[in-house]
Amino acid sequence: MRSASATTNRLNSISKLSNLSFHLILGFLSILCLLPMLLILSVSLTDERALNLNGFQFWPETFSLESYRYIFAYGYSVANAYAVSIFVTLAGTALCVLLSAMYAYSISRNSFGARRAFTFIAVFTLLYNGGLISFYIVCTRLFDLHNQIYALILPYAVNAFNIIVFRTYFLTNIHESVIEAAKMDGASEYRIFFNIVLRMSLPVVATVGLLSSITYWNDWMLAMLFIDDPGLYPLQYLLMRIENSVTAIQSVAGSAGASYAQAELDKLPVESARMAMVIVAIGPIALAYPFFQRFFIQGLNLGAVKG
Amino acid sequence: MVNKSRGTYSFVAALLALALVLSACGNGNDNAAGTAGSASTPAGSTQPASSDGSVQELEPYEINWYYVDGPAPDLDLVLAEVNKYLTDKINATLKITRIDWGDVETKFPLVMASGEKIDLTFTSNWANDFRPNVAKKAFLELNDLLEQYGQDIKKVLPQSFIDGATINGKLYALATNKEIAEQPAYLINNAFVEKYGFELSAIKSYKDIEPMLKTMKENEPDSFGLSIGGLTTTMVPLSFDRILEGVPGSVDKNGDTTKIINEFETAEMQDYFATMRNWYQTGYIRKDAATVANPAEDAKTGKWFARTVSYTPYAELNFNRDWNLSLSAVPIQQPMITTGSTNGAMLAIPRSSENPERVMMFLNLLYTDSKLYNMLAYGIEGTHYVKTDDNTVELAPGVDPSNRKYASSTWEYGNMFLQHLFKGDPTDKWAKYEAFNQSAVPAPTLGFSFDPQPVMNEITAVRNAWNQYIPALAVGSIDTDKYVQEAIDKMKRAGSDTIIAEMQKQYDAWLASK
Repeated sequence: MRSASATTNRLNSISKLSNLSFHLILGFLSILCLLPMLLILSVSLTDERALNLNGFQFWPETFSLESYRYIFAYGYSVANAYAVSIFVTLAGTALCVLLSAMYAYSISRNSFGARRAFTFIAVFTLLYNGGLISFYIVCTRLFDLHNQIYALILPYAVNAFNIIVFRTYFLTNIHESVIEAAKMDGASEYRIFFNIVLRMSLPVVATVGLLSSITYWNDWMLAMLFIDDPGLYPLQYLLMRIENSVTAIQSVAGSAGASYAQAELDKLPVESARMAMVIVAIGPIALAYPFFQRFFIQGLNLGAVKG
Repeated sequence: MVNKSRGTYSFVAALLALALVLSACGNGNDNAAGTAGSASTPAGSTQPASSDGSVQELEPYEINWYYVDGPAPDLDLVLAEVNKYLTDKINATLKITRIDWGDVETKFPLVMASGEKIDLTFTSNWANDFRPNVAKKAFLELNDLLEQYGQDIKKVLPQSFIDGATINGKLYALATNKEIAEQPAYLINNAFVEKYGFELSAIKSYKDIEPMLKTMKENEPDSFGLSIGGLTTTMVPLSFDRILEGVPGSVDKNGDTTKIINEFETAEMQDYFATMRNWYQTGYIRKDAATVANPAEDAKTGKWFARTVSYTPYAELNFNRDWNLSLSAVPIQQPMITTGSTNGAMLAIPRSSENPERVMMFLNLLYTDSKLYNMLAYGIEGTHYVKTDDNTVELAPGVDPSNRKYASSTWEYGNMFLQHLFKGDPTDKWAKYEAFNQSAVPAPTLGFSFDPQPVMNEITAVRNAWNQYIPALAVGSIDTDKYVQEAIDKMKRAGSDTIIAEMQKQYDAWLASK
């Protein structure tokens, strides 16, 4: 086995020129991605009147912290929305991973009698669903989730896609003999699942956990459908709501009466305040992401490279 | 193998059966949609001896009310007060759910379809669409209820509002008592009026501002003469009563009112486009007018002379306050009552209501009881507002306009004329509104509603063609000579003639039935 030397291994490295051009291209693309955020940051720090006169600028014409002061005094509480979002994401991810794993484990075991039926039920939901109205009726009438925090967690808790991912992993990587051996040693089914199977499936747990946490964090649809209490708004919905309201009011202005529409628009935050909200909502995440990035990549890689 | 699949099938069958049973349990109560029968005499509800009869006879009832508004942190506080008052009057309590502006398109259909018990809902021609809902029989007929419990409403609400919401002789919604007509007007920036000594009374139609625009152009290089676009592009100040948005087909108010014509082929319209093009090229109109997204932001700068707006008495004061400018409003058309202007804000009683009589009693109060109305409008006296005199209020000390804990869009319900004036409003505001309503002329199509179903495909195609040309033509940013005819032809190819023929057919039938 030849050991990799500390100096560059010439067989594997790319030429200096390619290196440079790759850096330039990717650097340029990265800057393109960053520019909108910089613009938003700059608009949020601009005085409103200067905005009206000069439009969006990369460097604020007239510096002003007014919009930040405004959003913290505004009726909506950004801090509250953060708390709701974080809680929903953590609880939701935990629940989603747990339930999907348990379901998938059951249908991956040969000795389970109703295996075919449950697999069919799960796969069926991938192909067909009842539509938005029946979803709404089931959640509010049957389960009475209106205005509860569980409405933000439960609908995404069991997802056929995640179940399939888990099941595939269990079938290919957890050999029946391991389970038999555990049984012979006297382990109960729960013990086998939690202490053996799950421990052996950390890559897929990480993957599904990542996917579901992203789903929960970014979701605003459930809040729009089920939540009327401002104390329960998650972060994305808060932002979405304001933007949607502005667009909606402008589009109905002709029919509702322009002066009424104007009065409604004036109740909403102005341009720079909305940008400030975006910064406050995304800022901490964007800043925290580099620290967590390492774990995400590790988790995704774990499943990929196998002997 | 056979055994196994048999077991599986019977298992799945059992599961389906269980699901069916559960869904029946959940929906049982509200499948009464079909069996509600005639709304005015349901068997089980109590009825008072007279319209202001003894409250003890009425059982307590919660009125579930949905309308469009932003959230208010103190809504529950205010509702508690309102409910104390309402319980004394009609032994009912209110539960208000506000659907936010951005959610209107998605949430209203869901809420209406979910079968939840809703007693009162906002409806109009732009939210929770009135006519499709009536066609689906989602709303109760109000004629008898109005006779029995809403006598006072009839005294207050002008007949045109009632006509606008009546379909085939049946009334389905009660409009807010506010301005009844629409009237295109110019909002003029007073700063320039004083500077150049413009004579505002000389402006009688849209063309009359041309000399003023010329002066503006010559002397104010970085301001715009006519600022249009965005909120105001649909305000074409001509004498056509359009049947359906985004599609040609109107009745000429000044011509033969029994014929529906393609207004783009008329000389008046062609002249309008030509004028706009002329003004655009001369520089009276800003170069990016067709794509301005939020004209209010631009309005605040004050760098403009005139903009079109739909006029209501003293509307300019609202804009004054919001934009921090001094403005005047100059109407350029007669105020006209259209089906659209009467359908802008209404309340209807959905089929799922369990006690429509109580709801009608509440509506009766909403149109006559000043204390109730103002509680809903402004909140609690002392906490949210204070009275400066009998009929005027202002914000309570310590309440900042930008973070009011309670505000309400009163134009969506009841009798707006009951609302106390806000400090700074002129004292004759409501008198002016009444005069405005009196002076309004009903449009020839008032009460006619066009059913677009037979020509839906053509409408979609024509609308696409419309959006390509008309917004730009209306601000003059593209060449009239070339594109007006092209636009008309394109819309014709998309089926505008078929649509107009269909409109004519339905219109004739409606006229014959009057």
